[in-house]
Amino acid sequence: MKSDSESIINELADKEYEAGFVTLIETEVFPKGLGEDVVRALSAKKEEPAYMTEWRLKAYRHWVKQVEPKWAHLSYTEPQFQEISYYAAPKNAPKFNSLDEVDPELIKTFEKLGIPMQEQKILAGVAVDVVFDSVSVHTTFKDMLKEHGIIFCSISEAIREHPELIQEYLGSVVPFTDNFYASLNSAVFTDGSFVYIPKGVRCPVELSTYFRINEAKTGQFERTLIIADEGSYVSYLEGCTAPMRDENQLHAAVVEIVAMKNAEVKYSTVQNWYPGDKDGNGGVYNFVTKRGICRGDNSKISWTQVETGSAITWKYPSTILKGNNSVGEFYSVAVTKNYQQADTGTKMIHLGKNTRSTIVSKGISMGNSNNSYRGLVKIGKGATSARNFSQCDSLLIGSKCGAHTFPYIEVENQTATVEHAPKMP
Amino acid sequence: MNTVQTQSNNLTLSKLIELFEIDNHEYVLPEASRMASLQFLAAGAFPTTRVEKWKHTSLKPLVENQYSLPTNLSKNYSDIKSVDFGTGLVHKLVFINGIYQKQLSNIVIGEQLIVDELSAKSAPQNWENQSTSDSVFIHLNIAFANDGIYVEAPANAALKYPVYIIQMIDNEELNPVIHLRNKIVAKKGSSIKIIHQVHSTGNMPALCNIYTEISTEPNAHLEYNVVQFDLQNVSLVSNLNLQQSRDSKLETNTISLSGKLIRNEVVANLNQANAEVQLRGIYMPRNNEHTDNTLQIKHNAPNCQSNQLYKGIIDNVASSTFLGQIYVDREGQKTNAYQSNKNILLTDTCRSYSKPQLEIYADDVKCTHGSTSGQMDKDMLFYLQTRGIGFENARRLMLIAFLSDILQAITIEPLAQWVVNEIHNRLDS
Repeated sequence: MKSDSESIINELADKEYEAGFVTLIETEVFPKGLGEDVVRALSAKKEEPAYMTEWRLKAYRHWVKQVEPKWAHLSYTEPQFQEISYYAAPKNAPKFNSLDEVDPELIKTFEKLGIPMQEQKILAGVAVDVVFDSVSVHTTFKDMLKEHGIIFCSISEAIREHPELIQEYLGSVVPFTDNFYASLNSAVFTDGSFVYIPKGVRCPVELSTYFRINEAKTGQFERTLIIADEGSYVSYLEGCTAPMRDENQLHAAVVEIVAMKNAEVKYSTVQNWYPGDKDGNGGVYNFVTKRGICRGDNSKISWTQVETGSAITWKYPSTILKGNNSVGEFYSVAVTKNYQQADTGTKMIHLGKNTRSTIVSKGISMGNSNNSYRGLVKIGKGATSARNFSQCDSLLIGSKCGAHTFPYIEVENQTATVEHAPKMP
Repeated sequence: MNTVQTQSNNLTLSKLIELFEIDNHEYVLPEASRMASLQFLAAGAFPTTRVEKWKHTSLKPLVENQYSLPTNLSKNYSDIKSVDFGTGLVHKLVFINGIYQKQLSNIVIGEQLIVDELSAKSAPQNWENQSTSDSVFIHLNIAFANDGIYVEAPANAALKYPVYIIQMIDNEELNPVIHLRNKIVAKKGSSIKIIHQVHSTGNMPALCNIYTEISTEPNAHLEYNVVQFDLQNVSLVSNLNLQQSRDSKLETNTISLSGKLIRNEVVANLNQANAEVQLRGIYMPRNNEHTDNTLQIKHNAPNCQSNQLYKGIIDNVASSTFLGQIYVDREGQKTNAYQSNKNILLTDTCRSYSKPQLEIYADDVKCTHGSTSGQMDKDMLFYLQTRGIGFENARRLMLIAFLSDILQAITIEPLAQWVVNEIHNRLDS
């Protein structure tokens, strides 16, 4: 038994990054640097309406005024924001009508990664939106989803085709003033996925987006917006990889979820960005803001994340429990090895009555890595009879790694029950 | 991020420093340390809630007041509120507004105990080096502490009678600012029990900044009890620094009954193998009071044990903060560390903030932390009522029971009795 488990641990610790190849594909890349002109050019490139350009510029102006946050239990050199190119896209990409038009190199890439793009192969059913560098290259199953009234497309398309939804919801959960990286993302996000599930519709397939950074010296800034209207249900899966490079690539995404009355959203992430090599060179800086709001009564948002990649992870998928009886869940497994550093967790903000939240977080650290859980449970004044249960366990393998927990518990209503009961074996 | 409160009538750090500069005090610490701290203070400011360690503890009650230097009052202080030891003996050390009162103090003859007033001449200078501290209060204390007490239990002495340090703040007619410094040492194989009482007699605003250093040498056993009460208009900041050698045991019981603003900051250093520290606390803020317990336990050596147990009952519009950190160094293998913080909220308007934090760099350790916040169990209350116990009695019974494991840990009988009575009085009012 012992040798078995040892060999599994060793295998895991020694395993090299499997998705680290580079695809040789013609790409269009903006010159390095960021300024109002870049934001305008980017918005123009994406053929966005004026309201969007304005919104981006406001975000940019706010970003300039901020300083990079330093409170996380992480040590890294601040990204050189003027050394990054803010737009990279496959050159002969923009609009596809069918899969035949997609560059075969690209299809090969996704086959290597095991992403089902061939619709005929996946009758069992996952609808996939694929974001390569900064642009959504293909969304499968579109027509079938259309029949149910479901909108599943790239966010660029939604900005053009569904401005009423975008104007109402974009930035409604994570405003562009939220934090340094959310402001940056709002100014320069290039693509991402958009999901709208109409009233009473149960999405018949799992929706999935696959993100890949390919180009060197680029940052990826995608934006995801999911709206689940009254009584609807959707399960959404996100995955990510990047080639192995010696430099640190920046990934700063924003995900927003809105769940209306009786709606349920399940959001799962498999985060496998390039973690850097054995000596801690290179790897993706993953600075992500993910937040959902249970706007209506009896709504539910459930986050599940498996974090294995990235050199630096800074990520706290959160839920605002505004509707009465709404439910928030967070399940996380974070594995760090070599010189990886993760500071991840969740926030559960209870505002409505009888709101309930559950947090289960498991962290495993190996090698010279550091793995931190950081979480906030806040019970607002009006959150009568709110309940929270949190549990976070950590496992350390080897004597050079670190495991940490930073739980914040803020209770402002006497009828609340908050329990935090973690342990370290 | 350290921004100074800017309202014109607010106390700024520089005003507080000026207060002392004009005065001809004799200070406890050597000039070199004082100068370094003054330099730090010249560039510093009181932390705002934007500073992580002060996120939920606002210093507003402290900075919105003016203070003056305590002057010697020619009053008769024979009737000081204190624990009644009856016919039992106790070593009594009395301070009024930070000045040692020899005539009110009393050392039991025949006990092996070394007590010395701290002053530049007599004080032992082997203070833990705090020059790198980022705390304004620690630097204020280094710069301006002008009195305090040195208590030592000599090697292998088992002291029979507790040492009772009474620190009274007379704020009836003036608004004193007090910087006091104490040092307590338990030499090899000794055992000693301490009570440290802080209370005030008036209603004028006061600022009290205490720094206490306790060290336990190999095999020593020290119990340190803190009682803080009647501090309705006092801002009390207490920094407690613990240094432990191998096989020593240190226990602290911090009972904060009332205080406008109380911040108890503890740094416990387990420096050698097999040391054990037990930190317990009760806090009961009410009205618009705020009590803050900030602890850091540093497991710097293998096989050490630490245990934190803090319980709060929060009433009216009061609030509490618990920031507990367990830090396990790479050297801290086989560490056993526990932490528990429980809060009962009595009203809709009170608040409780808790952050039980772990930072672990060794892989063969056992660390658990837990935190609960909520109201009293209604089923239990109902059950007691069905047994013929009235609501008020049932409620009091349950609250006392909630605190009982900490109350039972106080081994000085008259003190334990006094604390229970005080809590009863509080719950009745």
